[in-house]
Amino acid sequence: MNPDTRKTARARRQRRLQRRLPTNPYLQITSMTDMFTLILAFLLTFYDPSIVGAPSLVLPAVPVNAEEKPGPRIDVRSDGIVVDGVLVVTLDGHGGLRPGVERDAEGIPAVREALSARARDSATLLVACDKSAPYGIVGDVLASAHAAGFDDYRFVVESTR
Amino acid sequence: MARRGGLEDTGPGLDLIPMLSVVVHLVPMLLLSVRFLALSQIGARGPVISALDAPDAGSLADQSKRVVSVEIDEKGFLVGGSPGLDPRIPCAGDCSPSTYDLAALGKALRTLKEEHPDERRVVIAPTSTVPFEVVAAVMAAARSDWSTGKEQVLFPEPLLAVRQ
Repeated sequence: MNPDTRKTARARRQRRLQRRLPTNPYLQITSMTDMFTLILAFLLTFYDPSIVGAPSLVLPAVPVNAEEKPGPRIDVRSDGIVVDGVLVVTLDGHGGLRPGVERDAEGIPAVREALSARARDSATLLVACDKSAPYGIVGDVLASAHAAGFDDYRFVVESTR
Repeated sequence: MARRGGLEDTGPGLDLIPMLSVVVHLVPMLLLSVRFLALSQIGARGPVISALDAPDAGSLADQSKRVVSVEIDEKGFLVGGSPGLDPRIPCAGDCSPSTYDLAALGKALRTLKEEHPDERRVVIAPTSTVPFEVVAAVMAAARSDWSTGKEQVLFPEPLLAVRQ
């Protein structure tokens, strides 16, 4: 086959291919949108800003894998005590009570007050403590919870098992 | 307007590009900030032992022979419940969450379980300065023993003592 004939055949093939392709092709992004929407929905469902990214609440990692129960939750962070997402007592940043915060033989009155309404609905209290929190403040919280009517505590931990 | 013999003109398709742009920005932002944690719970009951209703020294000495207990202080662990067991388990060096001797505590708890096979409760009494990380580790160690590869239930009902 001479070179001119070959060039003509190639040009014909290209013209035929161009005729087959749409004149105004759009990027097909529907599947990609589906995928990203699913990923976003997954992340938003499992994203818990109360734990994730809170430097004042780092849970201890221990090898347990126990049954989980629902209930009202109290967070003992290094900078405050939070009951169901509401800051009740501000701490000094190291898990200690700030001067002037009232404390009595039954714990911390502000915590007791915040928990007493919730104790009517559930006997179980979820306690999420920062791993560096001294047991003194955890004990105060437990004493307050006990006085408010809770007798079953579930400590929220990061499971390594 | 419908064309005779042809498809109806439905106009331009849904423009998904702005939505995709938002989603594409949100996904990396969430992925960067997220930490995937497997959460669990350790159940405990709290008998509030306070100075107001503390038992006398004689009752405490009697209790320490019968009740399985772990005290946690700035020197290590103090295990109660067995007269034949050396109660003091010191830290390996200065006490910090990583130097508390959990392996020795686990061994002591296994011995205690052999002596008290029907007991399910252990009293855990930390001092006020002990970090919660150590308390959680002790609760986990007291709950079950995994040293043989299989779970052996020890004392799954920890009672936390609160000193006032």
